[in-house]
Amino acid sequence: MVCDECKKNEATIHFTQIFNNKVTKFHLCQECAKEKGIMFPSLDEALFEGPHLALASLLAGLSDIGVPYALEKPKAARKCPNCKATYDDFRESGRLGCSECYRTFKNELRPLLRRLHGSVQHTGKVPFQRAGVGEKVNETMELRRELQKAIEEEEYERAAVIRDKIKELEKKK
Amino acid sequence: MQLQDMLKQKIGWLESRGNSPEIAISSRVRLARNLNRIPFPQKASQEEQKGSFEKIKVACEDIAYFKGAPILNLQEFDRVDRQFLLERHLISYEHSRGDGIRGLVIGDKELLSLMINEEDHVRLQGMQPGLELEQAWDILKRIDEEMDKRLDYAFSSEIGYLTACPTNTGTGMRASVLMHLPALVMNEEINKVLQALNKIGMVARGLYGEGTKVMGDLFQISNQVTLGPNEEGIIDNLERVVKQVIDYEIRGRKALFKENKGKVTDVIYRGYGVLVNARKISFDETMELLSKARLGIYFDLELDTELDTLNELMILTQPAHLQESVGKELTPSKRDFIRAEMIREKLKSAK
Repeated sequence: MVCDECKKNEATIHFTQIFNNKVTKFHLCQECAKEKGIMFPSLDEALFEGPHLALASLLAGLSDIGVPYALEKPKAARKCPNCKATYDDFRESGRLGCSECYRTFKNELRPLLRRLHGSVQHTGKVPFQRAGVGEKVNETMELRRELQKAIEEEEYERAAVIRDKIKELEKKK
Repeated sequence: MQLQDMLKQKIGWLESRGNSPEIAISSRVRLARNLNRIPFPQKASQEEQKGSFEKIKVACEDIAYFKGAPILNLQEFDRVDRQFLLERHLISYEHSRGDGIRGLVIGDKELLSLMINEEDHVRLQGMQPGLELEQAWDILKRIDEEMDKRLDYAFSSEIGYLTACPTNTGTGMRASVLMHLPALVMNEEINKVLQALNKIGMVARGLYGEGTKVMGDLFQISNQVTLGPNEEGIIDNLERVVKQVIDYEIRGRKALFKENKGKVTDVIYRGYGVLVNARKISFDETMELLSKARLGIYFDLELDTELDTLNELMILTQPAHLQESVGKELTPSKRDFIRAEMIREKLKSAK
């Protein structure tokens, strides 16, 4: 079998990722695996056993491996204005630099978040500091969930009423 | 603060109370939070790490729940000390080995802890014995709110709490249950269960969390998805799944006892014989035999011990715990002798 990534070398590392019931199989050669951050730990640590996927690093590369040609590589030069991190830094470390990175790399992160969680809409707790705004946000969130449910249950009339409510609330914001 | 003092303290989440403590040993909920616009710990300079550390420390000191709680600067602790904290599940593997300015706040009975400058600025965790995720969340929620009044957390109304790794974005919540599944390991059903968990967005990890190995048939089962469902949804879902796994395990245990009673009781009694009599024993073997002894308690065999003692031994016989108990570093071979002695003592005094 040929490596998914370079399409040249023999693939010797095989693994399967499952996200939200979607199975993705990866077949990589040694070099590409190393580049993607799949590493083997040192043997001196008896408590911990390998092979260990540098998961975060793998995730950072996922938007490439998963959909090889669909996503354009981001322009490497673009930096987060707050912490100066680039998207390539994220690829390497699997960690973003600061909260502002989410804004800076929004276009790259959205598909990744969707792949990881199956959603890009937070419906949970809202910080106290924003409770004023939060209430409204929460209200529309609640309604959005109801809307989803109504659609799933094929109750389209109810769905239409909820949709109009959401529209109205968002206008007020 | 002297870590040795902690050796004498009872760990709250190891008491055998709560729901199904014979299978679901403990429940844990953790929240990842970050300070708005301040570089995440890995990206932060020494100065910035120090700044975050101080801000979070001040917030903790101001909260009634953390009154009198030790706030440790991990830089002041050596490798064995940090390993000790890892063994008590107070810090992660990353926190025990990483450099930079890192902190730990330890709440009452170790039911609550807060890591400063781990992967995220704040990692708040609540633990409870047994399957008690809701209880753990109830307490944690209140402390999170108190912290939140004092710190400016990074948050987006669209995608929730912003974390260093996108696998935690949203609620920043990871809920997990430490489960003892010896029957599923013996009847080899465990792999099927783990695969099924994966398919529904759950993951099973080893004793010390991500990337660590399974010992003593102990598995940590947790949610993977943090964005989309709300906190209660995540907890409900995990609880439902854990209850199913408990059912499988009970069924497995009953079948084992019915079909292989002679063989299974022999294995358990022999194992216990080793625990009570060995003069030298490794941690791996200890965990394996403690697992069998736990099963023996479940089957009401005459083992002259109880769940609490076995739980305590799982913690006390770990390498760094042994070293803290004698106050010096020991070679692995020396440890094995001291471990055997400690097990004999504990099992004798429980009689």
